[in-house]
Amino acid sequence: MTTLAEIATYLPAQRVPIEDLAGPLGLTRMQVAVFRRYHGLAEVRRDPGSLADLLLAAAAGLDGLRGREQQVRYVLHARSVPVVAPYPLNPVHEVCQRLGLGHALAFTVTHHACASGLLALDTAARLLADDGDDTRALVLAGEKAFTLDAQLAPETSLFGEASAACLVRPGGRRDRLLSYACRIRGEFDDRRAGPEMMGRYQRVFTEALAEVMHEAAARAGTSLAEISLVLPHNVNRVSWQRLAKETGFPAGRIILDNVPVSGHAFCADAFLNYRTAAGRGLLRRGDRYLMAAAGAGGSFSALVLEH
Amino acid sequence: MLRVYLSDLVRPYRLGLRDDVLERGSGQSYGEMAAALLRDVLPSDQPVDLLVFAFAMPDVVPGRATACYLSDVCPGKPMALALCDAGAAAAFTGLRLISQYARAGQCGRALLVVAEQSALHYDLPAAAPVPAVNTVVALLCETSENNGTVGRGDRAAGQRGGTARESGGAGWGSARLAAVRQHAGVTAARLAGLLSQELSDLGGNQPDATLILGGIPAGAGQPPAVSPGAAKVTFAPPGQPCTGLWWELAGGLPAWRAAQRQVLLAGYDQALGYLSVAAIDARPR
Repeated sequence: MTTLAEIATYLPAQRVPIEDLAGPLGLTRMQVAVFRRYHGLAEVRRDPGSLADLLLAAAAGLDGLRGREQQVRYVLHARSVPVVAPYPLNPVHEVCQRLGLGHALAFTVTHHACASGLLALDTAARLLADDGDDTRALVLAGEKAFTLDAQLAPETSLFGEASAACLVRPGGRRDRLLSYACRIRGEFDDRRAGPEMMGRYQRVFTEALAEVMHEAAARAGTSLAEISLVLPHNVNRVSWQRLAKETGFPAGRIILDNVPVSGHAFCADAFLNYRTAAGRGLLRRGDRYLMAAAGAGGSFSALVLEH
Repeated sequence: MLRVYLSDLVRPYRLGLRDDVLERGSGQSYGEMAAALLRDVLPSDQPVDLLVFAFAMPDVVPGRATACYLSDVCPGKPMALALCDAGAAAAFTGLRLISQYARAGQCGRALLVVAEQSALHYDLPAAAPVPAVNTVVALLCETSENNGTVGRGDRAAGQRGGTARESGGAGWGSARLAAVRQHAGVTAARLAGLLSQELSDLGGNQPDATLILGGIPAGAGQPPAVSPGAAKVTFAPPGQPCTGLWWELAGGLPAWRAAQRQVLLAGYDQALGYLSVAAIDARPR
């Protein structure tokens, strides 16, 4: 059974009110007002350094990494934007070199957009399946909002810079990875984007996400009603409120604290929400909780863990 | 929008955009190239459970979730994901994942799709292999009936420029994916010894072995440095740093299977320090 041995996160100090993004992103005052009042966004974070710096800032918080670098066999960057540096420059490999992990196989897991974080956890678990208890995979999440498409999801969200680092291990006792469910809906491919497709996507979003959440819970031998907490992707508040209403899952058990704090931090959201939940004492031993995310281009994912 | 994205991509690195490449619309989208291949080679009545897409060179549609698009094209609309930033090693990692899915009983039929294309819209910031041709290769794997592990390489097909090659259909039978091994931190100085040891462990010295080598510098890939006993050594074609090994596999596997040979693929990425080896075994069990 794979477990999350440790999760560390990094939230940059620079806070940018979303009103300050209006000019650069070409948003009207009304659009910003909708983001604030309806979507629950308030500010995003920005970090002055590079992508490697951002990821290293989270990894620096992993007590279980220092002195145990040799245990790490795999380093996975969970990435929403597939290409973030000019070829052949390779931030994930730069991170490995700076962390003393040059002996590890490092690569990026992508094409699930902001659901790639959950995919990376599942992928790490599969690669570790044949390895001994003293091996680890390091999953990194977080990206730079370096271009318009990485700053704004029109009418949906605003992206923020933050990062997470997660040590995954075979065996262990806490935060056991019980199940992973994913549905690919490639009919929402970006190349076919247009008003009609976006309308369909909005209608399908709640249903498809609820479906994988139910499936992940069932595969974990439980039901959605018995899940103690949902750690969502921080796309916005209204999408999750709608899902709560549709499924009957209590909205108060969906951690949305970070939507106004960090914005949508790409694949790092669930990890940020984990740290928030842990900090608030909301995770008790034996609790089964669920990470869930949807990705543009057509992926819907959920992952159930036991604390 | 592509120009905006590319400008933002290169700005921190002070690189210039190649306006000539942009204005000509050069390059090949991975989605369209791979979809055309899959439509040609996949029987519509045989659903696929998993699609793993591996690439190193960026797509000319760099932000696209191409793996999701290809899932929609595939019969069965499978689980799909992409691996990158590992050079030629990504495809081997893809095979390892396919094996793990199969062993978990979650995958009866899986596709490994490896693609590269030749257009780069900016000045190269560091020395790196740039493909000379646009190529996609698909390897269809099926789980064997008795032990749940990936058993057969049923079909391998490729499209390179205007040339297609396919080795599938009747008479293929079984060629087992016997092993996939990967090493990191492999310097050029360590390569020959490690490669020789891996190929020897996997039976590469036997006269019924065919070796396909990619990215192996001259000297390290030549007997007696490696597999002096192997009857046949083939090299991935130049200009295909990621797809070359698999292109050769697609072209040669029918004959090697018919001759009941073992095929060993070894790919080395010197810049990233990865050595990957896979064994596809068509010998009688």
